[in-house]
Amino acid sequence: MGKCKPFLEILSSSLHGDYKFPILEFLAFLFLLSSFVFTSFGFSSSEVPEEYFVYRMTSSLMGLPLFIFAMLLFKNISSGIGNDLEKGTMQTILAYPLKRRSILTAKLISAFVAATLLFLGMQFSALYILAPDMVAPHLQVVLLTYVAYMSLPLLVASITLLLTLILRKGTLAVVIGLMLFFLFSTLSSLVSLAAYAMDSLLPLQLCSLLVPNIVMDSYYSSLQPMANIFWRPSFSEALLYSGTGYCFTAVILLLSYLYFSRRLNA
Amino acid sequence: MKRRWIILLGRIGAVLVAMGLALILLSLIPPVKDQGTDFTEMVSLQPQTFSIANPFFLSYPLDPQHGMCVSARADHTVKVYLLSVGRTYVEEWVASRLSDTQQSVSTLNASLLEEFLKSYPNLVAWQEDTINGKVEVQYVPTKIVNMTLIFSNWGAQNADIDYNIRLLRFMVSNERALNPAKFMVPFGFALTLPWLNLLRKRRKDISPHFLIADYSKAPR
Repeated sequence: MGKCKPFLEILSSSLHGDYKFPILEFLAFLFLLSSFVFTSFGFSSSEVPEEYFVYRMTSSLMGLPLFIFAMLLFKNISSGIGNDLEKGTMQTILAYPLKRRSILTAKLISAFVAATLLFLGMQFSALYILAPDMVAPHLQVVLLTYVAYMSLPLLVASITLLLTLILRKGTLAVVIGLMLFFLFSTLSSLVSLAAYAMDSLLPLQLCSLLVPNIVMDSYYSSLQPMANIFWRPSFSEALLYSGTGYCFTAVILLLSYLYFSRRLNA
Repeated sequence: MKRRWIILLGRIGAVLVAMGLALILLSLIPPVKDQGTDFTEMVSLQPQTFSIANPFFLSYPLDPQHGMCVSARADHTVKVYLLSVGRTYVEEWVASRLSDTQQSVSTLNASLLEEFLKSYPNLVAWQEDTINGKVEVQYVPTKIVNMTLIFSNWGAQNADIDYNIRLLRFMVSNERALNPAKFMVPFGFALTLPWLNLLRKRRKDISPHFLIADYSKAPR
């Protein structure tokens, strides 16, 4: 109980700062509303397995909300940890009887975990409202789609966090993070074109390490019997590429922890 | 500690209210009619026979964003079925039970339909009698599925049926969006009440009464 109370204090003050009333409520409203706007099932045909349509529905459902989710992560890092460093509030927080890694954990639970729970909560609600009989039997397809698509925002957010700690300026780090996010998002389309032009899978495979939705898209598109797909990855390949993205995220978060614990001078 | 729980539950309640409002807003968006999917036909059914509607667009499956609006008018009581299976499946099943003398599968004995429905009761998505000679239904499937519309005349007289089928495009089915919202808004509001009370009390406690000067009594 001794160390739990200060941890909860920091967590609750971070949550209060990141999700002031009515930011949380407005985000929930926006996530749910925008989920339905761009949803598409594509051209329905009875010859294509239902998994493909579940994938199409899930990926299209998170189009705009995923962008809002990424912005929310960047905002939380900038206004939470970034502001604390810039204004010197971090010195007060570091005076709490807690290890530095516990302080960063409390900050990250507020910035990352709460945002992810909110995003996934709204998305799953939207999926169950829209097509309950498609989601329930294909829950693993839905989960795998989220794993692949959320990899990039989480990776860029963790890079932004590391930059915020090193630069000690939240705004600058967020600008770099935004640029990286848009760069990686555009890169996926450019790399697909390059792969076609070069007649090589290598650019696609390399890009899939950072943007695993490319490999997931190729895997589910290859389920269509008549589809002319350039890359037909196996299921284990799709899983492997998705896992690699999270490994990069974990490494960057570990570096952030190390920097925050040993090098950061508030 | 108790205060923290009240705040947490209050915020969850406020999120539920926000979700409910988003769903109510979505349910207010009317469906759009799909271009070129308006099919009107008149069929005459002999007693104890049934007929399968045959608009071209029903050969493609419907999805949870594409619903179907059926309106039918008949001069006698007719039963209308909406089956969640392709027309060809029903026709093949019926054809396998037809004798060699029966060539056409467009107008068939109603007992065959009864047999089919008994064999596959879970395929009936919706069924209703034409009450006062009229029936209207809006159906949105919960998965990608082929649909078949069947009219069956169980009576002893000929029945003339005038029906219309349209495909509608929804962002989300109005009914499906409104049903959870009906629970979310009141439940969420109930959760927010202790939190709102706490906020009101806190505002009262910190309101700086001593700073409010009554200038009306001030000497001029």
